[in-house]
Amino acid sequence: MTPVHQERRRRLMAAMGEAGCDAVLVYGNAWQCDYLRYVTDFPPVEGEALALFFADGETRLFVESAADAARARVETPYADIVQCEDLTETVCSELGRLGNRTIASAPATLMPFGITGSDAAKEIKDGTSLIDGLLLVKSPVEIEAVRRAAVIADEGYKIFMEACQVGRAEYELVAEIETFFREAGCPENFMILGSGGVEVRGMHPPGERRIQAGDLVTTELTPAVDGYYAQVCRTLVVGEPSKAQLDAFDVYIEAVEAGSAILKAGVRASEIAKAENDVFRKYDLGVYCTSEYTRVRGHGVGLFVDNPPHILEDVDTVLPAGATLIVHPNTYHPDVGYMVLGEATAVTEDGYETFSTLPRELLSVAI
Amino acid sequence: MRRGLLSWDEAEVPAAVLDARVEQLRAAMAEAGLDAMLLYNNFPRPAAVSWLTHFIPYWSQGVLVLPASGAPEYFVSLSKRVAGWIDETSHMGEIVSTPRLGADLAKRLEGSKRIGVLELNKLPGGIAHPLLSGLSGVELVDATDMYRAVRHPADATEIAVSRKAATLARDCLNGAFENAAYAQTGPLTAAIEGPARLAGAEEVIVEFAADLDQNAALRRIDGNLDLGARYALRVSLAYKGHWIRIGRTDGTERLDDWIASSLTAILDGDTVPGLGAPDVTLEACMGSAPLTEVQALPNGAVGVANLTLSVGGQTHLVSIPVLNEDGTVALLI
Repeated sequence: MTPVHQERRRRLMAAMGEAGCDAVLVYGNAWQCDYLRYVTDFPPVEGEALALFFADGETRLFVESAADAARARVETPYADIVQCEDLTETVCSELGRLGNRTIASAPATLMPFGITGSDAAKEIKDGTSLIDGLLLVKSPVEIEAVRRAAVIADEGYKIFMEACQVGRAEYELVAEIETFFREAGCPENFMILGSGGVEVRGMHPPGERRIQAGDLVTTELTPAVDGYYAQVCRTLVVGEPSKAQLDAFDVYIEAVEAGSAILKAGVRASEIAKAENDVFRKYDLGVYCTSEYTRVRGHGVGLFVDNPPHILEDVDTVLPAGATLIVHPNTYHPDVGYMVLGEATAVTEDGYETFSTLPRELLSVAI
Repeated sequence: MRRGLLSWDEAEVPAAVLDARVEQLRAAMAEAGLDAMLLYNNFPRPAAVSWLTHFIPYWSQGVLVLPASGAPEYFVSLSKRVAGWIDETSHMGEIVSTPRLGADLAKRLEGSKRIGVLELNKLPGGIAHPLLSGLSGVELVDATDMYRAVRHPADATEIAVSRKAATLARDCLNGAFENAAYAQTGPLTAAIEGPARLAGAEEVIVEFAADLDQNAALRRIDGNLDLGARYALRVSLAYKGHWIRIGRTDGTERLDDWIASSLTAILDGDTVPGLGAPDVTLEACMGSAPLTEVQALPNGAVGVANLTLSVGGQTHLVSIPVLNEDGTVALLI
């Protein structure tokens, strides 16, 4: 068992003790496995899995395929691996056998209906907030994993810049970065990008569009180390940046700095979003902070790419020391197109620590 | 997360083929008395929606509504700024961006009496419960068996694109070993995955049993492991929504060609001289997952045969893309 997982188990058992919980049932899949990974350290590669974790540390991991079962026996030798044809049916039977024990399940939104709608789950409590609290506050060992992911994200961005040449297709740029990450032993990355000019309104998975001189190229790179993601968002210009591009990007730099300036333990997510958005409002760009143009002004990172809290003016989550997040005022600018900026950061008692060494500026690559 | 090339080339997957699949499912719905069918997708479970519409999600989740008539509609929790991209890469009707999937689906389905759901038990509770509470007098039924009954045999398009995926995986795997030797998993993974992504693969997963004499479990490696004297690797590759796997054992005499040539005999349970009792796992696309373990390949299905074999006292792992042609499982390429 890795040190980081030993520590997670200790924290989980303590939280369960405080909540009077005998067991937690968690679900995860290859898209979102943060709850499952926190509890078991098992990441589904293609499919999905469920796990029961008991107050004494006993762990039962339920998987569907023989291949997943074989892998789980190697990767989580401390768990009892149950391979079953029907995950929900098997877990419901198991829950039925647990009698009147106090069980909490998470995450509520993704837990399969075959469980949440069954008689076996009628007495189960929603344990989402219990585990959300654990996911939010990272221990020093967890922060170290995020830091290592941030280092590889920066290195990946340098590869991205080298690859970003006129004539190359978007998906070819991503192929270069993925090759670098795999060579470095990094198995997972979340990445979207955008390329073009004022017509570009956001980022998307890579397509066949080819890079042209003068393009703004945006990306968010999010590699994972030991399951922990770190994100870096940067914008570059292919060729010399224009004055309009430089002027526009100054707003994003100012917004990141405004959001970061108030970042410390005790600040609310809403306050950070307001600080970022106020910069846009100052320049009569407030409309570009709405959902018409942008999703969030940042978000948590950790065992999922997009952990709570979302940095939005209506999210009142108080950020504790040990929270890891990205402040990113990514949105559309009417003069030049979509721009992004931000990097993974850890909240401390009196401020924050940022992990990226990339400059907070509009970058460019020579033609 | 999916970050390979996600695009729709109508020359590869014609709209008429997708329409024909929709009509095939719709005929089954009519027979089952369904007013509509719901098919959930996220990126680990993209297959049913991509089979019908070519849409492959990179993130988030959605539900395809197939009404009794009219184009399929897609309810997705991505922002509406992504709707243009969804529209460009797929063949469907209205795209509804909403963070309240269940509640908005319930509104859309008002007036329906009987709705089928693919893999109802796996529908996330965060969608299923608001959907149920928003619908009154509606029967939600599991339509998994009905879907499976129409999913096979594969049409010519599915076979052709699967062959392209298999060829790409085979060529990238073989190419990685041309004039190169590897001591660790990372560089070998990169040597396979890089060219595959450059050639347009939508997803590539390379798994290793890095020291086959110690353990035969195939794992995606987090970090870099030393390769043992004998190791196995398996490449799972997706191209335009079509998944295949190719795997082989290295560091010893390469037997996969010989094993492949004996495939039919192995799958038929015949004795193959020199081979111990094989352990065979077959996979095919049966529902929302790209590949699911099955007892037998449905007639006409594209799939994968994963073999664990003992040859001369040594374990060999081999994965081979296959096609069930009228009851005979043959090599796909």
